[in-house]
Amino acid sequence: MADETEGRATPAPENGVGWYVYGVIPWSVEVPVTAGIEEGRAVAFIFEGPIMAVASPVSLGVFDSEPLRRNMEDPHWLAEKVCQHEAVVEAMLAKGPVLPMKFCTIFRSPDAVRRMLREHAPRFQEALELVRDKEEWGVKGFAHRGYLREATLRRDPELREMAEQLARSAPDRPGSAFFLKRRMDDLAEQRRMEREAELIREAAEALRGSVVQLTSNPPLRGQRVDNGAPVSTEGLSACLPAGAAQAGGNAQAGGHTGEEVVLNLACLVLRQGVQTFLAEVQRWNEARADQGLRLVASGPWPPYNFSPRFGSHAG
Amino acid sequence: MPADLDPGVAEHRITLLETLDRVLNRGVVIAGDVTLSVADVDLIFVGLRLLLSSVETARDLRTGRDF
Repeated sequence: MADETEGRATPAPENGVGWYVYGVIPWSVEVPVTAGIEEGRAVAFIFEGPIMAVASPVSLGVFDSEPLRRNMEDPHWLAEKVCQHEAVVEAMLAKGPVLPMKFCTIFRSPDAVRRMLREHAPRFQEALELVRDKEEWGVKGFAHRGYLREATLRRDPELREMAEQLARSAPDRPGSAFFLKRRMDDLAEQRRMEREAELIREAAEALRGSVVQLTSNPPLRGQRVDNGAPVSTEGLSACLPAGAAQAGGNAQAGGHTGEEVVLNLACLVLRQGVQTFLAEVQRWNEARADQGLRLVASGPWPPYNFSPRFGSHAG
Repeated sequence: MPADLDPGVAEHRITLLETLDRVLNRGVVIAGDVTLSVADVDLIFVGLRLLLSSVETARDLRTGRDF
């Protein structure tokens, strides 16, 4: 196999370094040489047949398993490196299909990268075709459980009947009123949960028609919006992918007071169909404005959720 | 962008979290002894929580006001 193609040299092994792989792209795509995750070390291209890996050398003193474990405990180091990883992937995404690697996927040598590419070539090619001319979009469902409950109380005949009974209950019998109130609260909570589950199903169904693939992930931890105060990401937001931040603003506002993320979808959308998809999100929100569940779209993202995950065998 | 939507920082928080979630937890996984290291998910959540709390703290320290 040619070690040099169109003037782009395949890197030689170097002592004390590992090879950090950002993503896999088709061989034919022209990608700009961007900065890597470690200062002063730009990305390089490692070819194998019809595909190539975008990689850069990294010091093993920082990125080998043991030091990496320690470094990842520093949230600022972690956020900075995650954003740098994302920036390289975004640069590739601008040029063609890309399969982004999980954070800190590091190999001992360019040869080891090449072996990995060779071993998984068919799956990589298949996955690259799947994501070609498509974008990943995230859709979060924000539930306001207070509103959901109020909407349920208004609409459910059984609950309305109980509320009327409670209003009529004799003031000299506080005990029976207490138990009635408790039964009503339990039922309201049960109905609220049922309605929430129903809205979540409806949302996924409504979007299915405008996406190529859709996967449902567990809602992210730490995404309860407690006080409605937007949190400044000063110092961190600078490294956020511009496209993603812009599109987030473009789609909808984020979480509001008292809301909780109850739905976390990843959608693979045809690039040509993105406007239709976003219109669908908006239509869903407009039709259920008073229901207590809102959808918020963000993207476009590299197809992290539509990339292959290979098993533990090495050979 | 619609005029009634505040393009403020609320989305940034969502986006930062989404970036972290994707880069740390998704993407191509190559398991086995070909790789030197692959980020460890459990540890990462420790870092994530720390990150979020430190972002909150930084905001309070720096601005000392509500938005």
